[in-house]
Amino acid sequence: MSFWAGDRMYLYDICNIWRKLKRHWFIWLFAIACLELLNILVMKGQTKISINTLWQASMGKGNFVFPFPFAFIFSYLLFMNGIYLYGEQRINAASIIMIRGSSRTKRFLSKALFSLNLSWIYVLLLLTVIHVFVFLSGGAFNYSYDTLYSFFTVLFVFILLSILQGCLILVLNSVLAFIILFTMISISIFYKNMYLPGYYLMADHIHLVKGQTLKQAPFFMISLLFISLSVILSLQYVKKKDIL
Amino acid sequence: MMFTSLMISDASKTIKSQMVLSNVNLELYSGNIYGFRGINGSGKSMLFRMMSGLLIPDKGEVKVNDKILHKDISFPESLGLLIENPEFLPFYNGGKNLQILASIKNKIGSAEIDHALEIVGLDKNSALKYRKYSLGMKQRLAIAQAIMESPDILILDEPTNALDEKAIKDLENYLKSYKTKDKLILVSSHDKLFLERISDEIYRVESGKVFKEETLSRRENTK
Repeated sequence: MSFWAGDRMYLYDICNIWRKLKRHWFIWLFAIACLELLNILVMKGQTKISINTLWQASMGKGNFVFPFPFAFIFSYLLFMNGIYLYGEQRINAASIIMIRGSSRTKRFLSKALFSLNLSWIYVLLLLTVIHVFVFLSGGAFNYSYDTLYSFFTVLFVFILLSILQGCLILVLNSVLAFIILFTMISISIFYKNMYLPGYYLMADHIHLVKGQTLKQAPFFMISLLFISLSVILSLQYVKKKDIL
Repeated sequence: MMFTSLMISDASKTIKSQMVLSNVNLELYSGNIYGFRGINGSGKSMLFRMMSGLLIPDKGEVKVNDKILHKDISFPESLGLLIENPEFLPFYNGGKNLQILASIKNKIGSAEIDHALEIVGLDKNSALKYRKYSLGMKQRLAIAQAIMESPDILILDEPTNALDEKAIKDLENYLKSYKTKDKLILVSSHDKLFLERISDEIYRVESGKVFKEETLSRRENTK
């Protein structure tokens, strides 16, 4: 059976990004808008508001003791991606959906596709909110290289972590999966290392000098290899897993 | 009409060092209703999970129409399943929930969904959200999702839970007529009389072992 043939499992999961999480989206949008407003209020009078300064503030530069991006990545991992994957895995939901999907492999890939799509929609919305706030406060859209680069790194880390979370929930459980990811990201608050995903979520770490992007390239390549391996191993695991 | 068979050969399963199914051998054919009874924790649900592909046997195999589960196929190709208390989306009504589930296979339309709701006695035009459903209504919807795609194999784990007398009678009549369409039906229940009334064969599950029992009708015929 080919990847797309037979059923519409993938479409079912993609539709669930809105269908099952619509309340979460509203709460998240409200929370992010409040935090951006707070950012602007703190920044006003101190520095000129622009897409660069607001984005950097959103990434934890200056305003908050606990870096702000952690608030949005943890709420994402806990309440959006995590809660969905956990709920879909339980027998009460899995039994009636899985048998209709007709394949365990497809079921797992469908969840990975859900996480991938959820990630970019989430980051896109985050960027949209920030752009709206810059526009409303009359700030300039003078994108620096650092800003554009970190748009990409944040998205990359979101995709990386959400697919990894799917693999970990499958093999371990949702609580352990969250603790592992939480630890993995939090290390970067205390220890700057470009091979840790949390590094790419903080503005303080991203000051690109000539040749820096090239230095960081191995992280992206290792991450891609790591996530591909995790997906392959999870696919092997899911074929042998009991749904209890 | 398609002939369907479900065979279990020497299947065993151990979970957390407890044997939940032990050397199960069964041959089940379409056109019959098979009843399963046994005390809580005897292994009925595990047996159904194994038949539906959710549980993988440590030993032995499950064959559906000569295709081996977890080797040739992941799940039986045409299966309706009611196991535990399936979860539905709380902020949609019954019809919308069934529509979402049906969209995965995309085999049936709203007519079949409405028909399934009618069979179980739920109002197809009701806007009542699932979260406001009573226990009985939830059970009816769970049965509706199992039957709506007219599966060749129908597995119902304790379908009479939370149903009133009339609903049980309606279910009984429906199952009896459904089996004549050459369907294979498996039902478990604690209600011995209900099982006696609908089943062609009854199996008793005890500590993971499955034994065949004589049905009431068969006993009466032999008298």
